[in-house]
Amino acid sequence: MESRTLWMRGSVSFVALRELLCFIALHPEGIRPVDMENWVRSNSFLRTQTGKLVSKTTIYHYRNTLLHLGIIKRIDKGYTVARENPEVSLLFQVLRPGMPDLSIEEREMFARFVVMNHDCRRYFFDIFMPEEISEYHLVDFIGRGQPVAWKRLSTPQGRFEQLSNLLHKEKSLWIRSENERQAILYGVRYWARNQLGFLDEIFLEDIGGLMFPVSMTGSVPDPRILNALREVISPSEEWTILSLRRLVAEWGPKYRISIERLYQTFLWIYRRFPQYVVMIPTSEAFAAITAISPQAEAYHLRGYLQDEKGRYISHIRVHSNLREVILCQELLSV
Amino acid sequence: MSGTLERLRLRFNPFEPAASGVPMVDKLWVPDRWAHPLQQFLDTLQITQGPKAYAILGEYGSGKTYLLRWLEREELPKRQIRPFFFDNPGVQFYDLANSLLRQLGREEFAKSLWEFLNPSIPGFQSSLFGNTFQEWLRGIKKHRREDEAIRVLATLIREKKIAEDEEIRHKLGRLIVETYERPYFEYRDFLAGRSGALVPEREEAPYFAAILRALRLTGGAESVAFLIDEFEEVSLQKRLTKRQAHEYLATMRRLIGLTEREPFWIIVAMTPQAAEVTEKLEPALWERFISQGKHQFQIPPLNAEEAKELVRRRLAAARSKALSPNEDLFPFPENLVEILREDIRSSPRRLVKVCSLAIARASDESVITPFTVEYLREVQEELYPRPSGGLSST
Repeated sequence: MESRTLWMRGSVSFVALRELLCFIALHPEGIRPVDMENWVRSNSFLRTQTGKLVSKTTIYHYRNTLLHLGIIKRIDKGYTVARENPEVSLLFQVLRPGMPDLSIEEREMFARFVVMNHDCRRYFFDIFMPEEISEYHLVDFIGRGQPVAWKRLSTPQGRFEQLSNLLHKEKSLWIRSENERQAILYGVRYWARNQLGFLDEIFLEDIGGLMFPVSMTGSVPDPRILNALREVISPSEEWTILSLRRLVAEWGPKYRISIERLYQTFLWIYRRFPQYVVMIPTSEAFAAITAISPQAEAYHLRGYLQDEKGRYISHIRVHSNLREVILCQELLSV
Repeated sequence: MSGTLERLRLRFNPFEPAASGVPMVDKLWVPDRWAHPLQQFLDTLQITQGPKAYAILGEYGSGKTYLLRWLEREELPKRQIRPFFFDNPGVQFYDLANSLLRQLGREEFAKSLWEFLNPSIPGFQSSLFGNTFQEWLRGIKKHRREDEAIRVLATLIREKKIAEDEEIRHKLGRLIVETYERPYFEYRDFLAGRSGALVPEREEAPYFAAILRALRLTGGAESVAFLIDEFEEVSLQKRLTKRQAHEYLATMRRLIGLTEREPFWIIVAMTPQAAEVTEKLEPALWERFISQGKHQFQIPPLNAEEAKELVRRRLAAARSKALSPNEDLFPFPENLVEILREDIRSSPRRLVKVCSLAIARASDESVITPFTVEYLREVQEELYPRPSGGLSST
């Protein structure tokens, strides 16, 4: 892989990108990198994704990200907003500088730029897409993207990561260098999953990290999940035991629903019908049995529902009466 | 309290407040839906070959420990199977040996093995070392004949078909002879490779098999069973190292291997998630363990009849005198199970806790008997309040 196309970095905060972009927009004649740095230093609210004050290198990555995404361009005196790009005009219509988080509209617009970017597609998003689709946008990615798993594997040359499309195994990518790792696994993947929210991921011991595109908005409870749940409750048994992670692995990619929204739907059901739902906690040591670092442990545990007592919920037990009461809720158009 | 209990026509509160473990009442009872699959497994495997391993799956409070205790107290002894109960045994194979032998006690184990082997040291009259185990040990020590005694024991261990391996026989001989100086086990005794260890290095499975044979032969049993509770709590520490995770799986593999070769049973209780993770980590191992799903039992939640029967039996054990059949749930109303929420009455632990608190609270004379719907619902909501908005996903 060419190193100049691996510019994506996970430390880039899109909230900070928005602030920097709005500052650049104040200088249609162009602004020099050194002036950007001075401005960022004097406005110490700009932080990295981990909350640290930005360094000179990070400012470079911010500027570089905006440049590669086509939101700013180089001119004689420095950098200016690429206003001739209609997508950039649309982006400016939704930007709300000064807010601590991104609005859903801001996330969606930034996500469009990321998915449209050639390098991001080549190294990451293309693996999710069916073979017959060569041109796609954010909506296509969310609507038609297929689940992809990544796993660290031991090879004679060392330990490398492999990303592969679960429906088309031939669509895969090996990550062999630290630069690739930073740009792909901890760059684009983090942006899509953690910051922009159009991708989600659950760790499964057998296949590794299962990634799937998800809708950025949706209702809680999700009526499709209520319906799907009704279908899996055994009518012949009084109680049915369901593995939450199995449901996430199956329904997440199928309904393009985030783990958060899926679990919020289960919680909604639990709060409404506590007599028909029993949360089954698991041993934390076992839940993260293959984790070898605190970071890996946190990553493994993010696939579990956590209750107010801090317990990790792996399964739920649901009563057959739930079939009827869920149906009633649906009829009442929740 | 005794006046209160008299009012409730009970000698004691038969429901434990913590509702974990087993009650201190007569025979243990389990619903037929629980007993039959396990009895069937035991019936089949007592007359056929194959791995004698079984997994009991259930959520916390579903009755896993109770079911294991029922096997230990009621079912296995009837079949000449000598049971041993373990609580979260740890990840390493020798953690199990440690738990097992500590459970027996060193002196007890050494003595029973010595009696079974009945050693005589050449060149010495038996009276020289006395007739009891302690006298024999003292005589060996006094005359500095430890090495010779170990050799004799090692030979007998082979003759009696407990072990073939030289190192294992020697270690077992030492285990007996050194009991005089140290009549207890220490953790370091089970650290293979350490100086003075009583276990051989890299010979875990044969050593363990020898212990099992010794237990079987000295106890006059047909076979030995390990009942392992809370298998998922493989480590008290929060995170296992990669090596420990590997050891956990290796331990499981060795145990299953042992059940194929020895008259040895293993019955493990774990949460459904522990089974799911183990299956994902080692699908082939898990399939072998549960024999393609045949040796696996998910404890079903109590149905209304079973819940009522559980309460009735507990109360009956605490009655000062028998009551008529239509009031055998007193001080609870006959429609108790309809009053309680489904999530409460289906879980043995929740049901027992609610009943326990209802009886404990009845010291207040104003509590009407049989207990009213309002009173029982108040107790149930206090112990298991309906969820508010406090849950969040990670």
